Amino acid sequence: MHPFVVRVRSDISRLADDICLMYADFPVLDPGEFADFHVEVSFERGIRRWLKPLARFYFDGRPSFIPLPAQQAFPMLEWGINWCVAAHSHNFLIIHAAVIERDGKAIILPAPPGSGKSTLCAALINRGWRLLSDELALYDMAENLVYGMARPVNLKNASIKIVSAFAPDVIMTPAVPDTTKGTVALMRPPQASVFRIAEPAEPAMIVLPNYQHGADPLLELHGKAQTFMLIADQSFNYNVHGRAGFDAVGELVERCRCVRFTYSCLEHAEQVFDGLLDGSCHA
Amino acid sequence: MRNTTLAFRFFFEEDAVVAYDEMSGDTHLLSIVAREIFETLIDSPVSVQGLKDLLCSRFPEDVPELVSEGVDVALVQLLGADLIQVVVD
Amino acid sequence: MQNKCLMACLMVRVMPEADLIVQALLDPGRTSSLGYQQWDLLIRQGRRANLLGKLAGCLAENDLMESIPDAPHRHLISALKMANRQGLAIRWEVSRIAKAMSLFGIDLILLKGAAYVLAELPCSSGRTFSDVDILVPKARIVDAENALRIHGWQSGHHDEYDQRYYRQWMHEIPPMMHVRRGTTIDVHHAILPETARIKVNTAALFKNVLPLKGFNNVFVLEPIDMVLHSATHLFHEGELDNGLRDLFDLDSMLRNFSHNEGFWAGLLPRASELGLERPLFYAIRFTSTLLSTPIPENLLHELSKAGPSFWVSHLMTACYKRALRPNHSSSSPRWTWLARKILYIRSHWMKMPMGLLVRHLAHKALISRRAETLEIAAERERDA
Repeated sequence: MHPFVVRVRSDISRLADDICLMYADFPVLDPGEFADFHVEVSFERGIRRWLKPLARFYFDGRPSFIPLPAQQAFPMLEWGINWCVAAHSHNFLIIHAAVIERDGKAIILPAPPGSGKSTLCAALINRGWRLLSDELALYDMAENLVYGMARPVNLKNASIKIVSAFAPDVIMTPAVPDTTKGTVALMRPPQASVFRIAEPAEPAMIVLPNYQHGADPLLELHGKAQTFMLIADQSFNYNVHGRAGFDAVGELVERCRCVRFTYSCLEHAEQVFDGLLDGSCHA
Repeated sequence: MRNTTLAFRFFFEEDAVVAYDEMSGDTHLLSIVAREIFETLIDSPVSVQGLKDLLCSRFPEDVPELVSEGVDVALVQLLGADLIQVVVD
Repeated sequence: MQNKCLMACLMVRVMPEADLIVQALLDPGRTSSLGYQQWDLLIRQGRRANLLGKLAGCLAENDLMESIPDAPHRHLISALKMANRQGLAIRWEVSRIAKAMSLFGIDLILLKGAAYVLAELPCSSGRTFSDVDILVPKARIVDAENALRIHGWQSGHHDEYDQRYYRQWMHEIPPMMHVRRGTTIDVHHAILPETARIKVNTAALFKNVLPLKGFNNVFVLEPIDMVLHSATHLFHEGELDNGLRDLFDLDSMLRNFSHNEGFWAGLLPRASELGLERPLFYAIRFTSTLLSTPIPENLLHELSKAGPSFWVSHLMTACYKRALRPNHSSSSPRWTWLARKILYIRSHWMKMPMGLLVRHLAHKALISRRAETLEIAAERERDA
């Protein structure tokens, strides 16, 4: 999971199955190697273990978050790893965004929850786009390059069926109901994306996805100053970087074309994105 | 005017700018007019009418009523961001 | 009495070599010979002990950062950036607090982390902070609370029991949080609760304060008092996740202030004046044994008379030697859980009389049981 190595411990056998399925293309390292994060998802002890088993996430041995039903173990692991990366990787500017790449150019899709970013990302990576990340854009401020982890894509509720219909060959975990985000499933990342994990990409565009039921596809220019504020707002550690963060986001927004993309249909989105980088589709 | 340094970033042909407050670490979205006002107030306090007259002379091609409105909006922005305060004579 | 002896015997052992994080901080050059597995352990211990930023700062000062392998290097840079950012943020926070207090003409003394940063002490390098602690005269505490409220701070604890706990029994008003910035401030009027077994001469503390450049109403304790306060805080603390970090603060201050004329000679007399000989005893005992802090022989000799009885001393040594380590599986030998428990209960015992202690612990147990019952009931309703 370049640029990070995660060491996972668990006593939940179903979790091991999910990890093997979703991370099948990732290298497994020697236990003697340096691991960036040591995490554990294990059953909560006590009499509840036999009635309604709960699982808890641990980071470096410290319990984090409230325990959740054990069937949510894999989503919990994924959210937990996201949290570890977001809270402890200040060598990057970390933006809550999806990142996809084609022909050496990256498109950053920042968006608050509910904007359809993950669904769009999941669809496009099954149509020739490389996945860098569906959640965390890792921006290297010195190099002006964005890194990703190519990890399983988080899908919720209706998106699960929509993406399965759009790309019937995808491999997903079984849907897990009743999480705090609704029904959740994780989609295995494309093998080609995983094999190119170590390659960063130069950001060329910032696209703000805006799902609207029944809407025709529409690209509109988005003011750079407004885009700046949105990126800063969607960043987990903008404040940590202080002035350097201000300058870096300014640079990023300056170099990218910033647009807002309204859509309702994944097929339309696919066509629009095909034309985005070569300029044949523009706002 | 609160004693601080603001770093501004402009974007080509845009009316909005972003500003970083070195002391508080806050980032603000301001209008270009707000930036002009801030720079003016660095030297000394100025009355609201004084600011409006000054900016009308700096932007002669713009309609004075629009400039006046712009100043009002900018003052609200700057007050809201705790970057200036009103001094009553 | 017999039980105390037994416990002391069970827990006293020859202590193993110091934890990797301690070794690295005391001798940064050692890190150049570490392998990947050791770096893996060092980063984790450092993070659990909240000492990763300090380690990064230490390695940077000794020009050792370039020799560190990429993978651990990133974590050190990350911790250092966070610490540096927090240092700037705390300066801003203090300026806002000072402004609020000046409205009511209140002078305040900065304590702990905020004091270290504003006084530019070496121990502030790489340090992280969770909140700002200040000390105001008891007569001004109501004004202080009002001043903060007017400027956007709010008290978080509305439970009647909690309000009483803080105001009546402890030495502070309930922690207040700023509505916009989300930062927390703890306002104290003494350094130990009025119910505490040690009676501190708080009035004497206010006499020796040092002004801070750039402020006219913000002060810090003078060096000897700063050391004594830090020692008192650490050796009355029940939750020791930051224990090792606080011990390193003491070590840094002792080394730094040792150059001040009259520092060593004045330490014990001042501790006597304030009523703080016992915390000083523990501070010197554990900095010298665990962190090899250089202490003048005559002070060590004089302090030995301020220590507790033989068996209490043994028990405390056994407990603190375990508890003042990173709260991580690699540095938690047998009986660590018991040591932490003993110190937790002791901390409360030191701060309140027995009757109050029993009530307080019972209340806390009841609250957590109630919370768990509510959680289970809510879940049952969801499933129904």
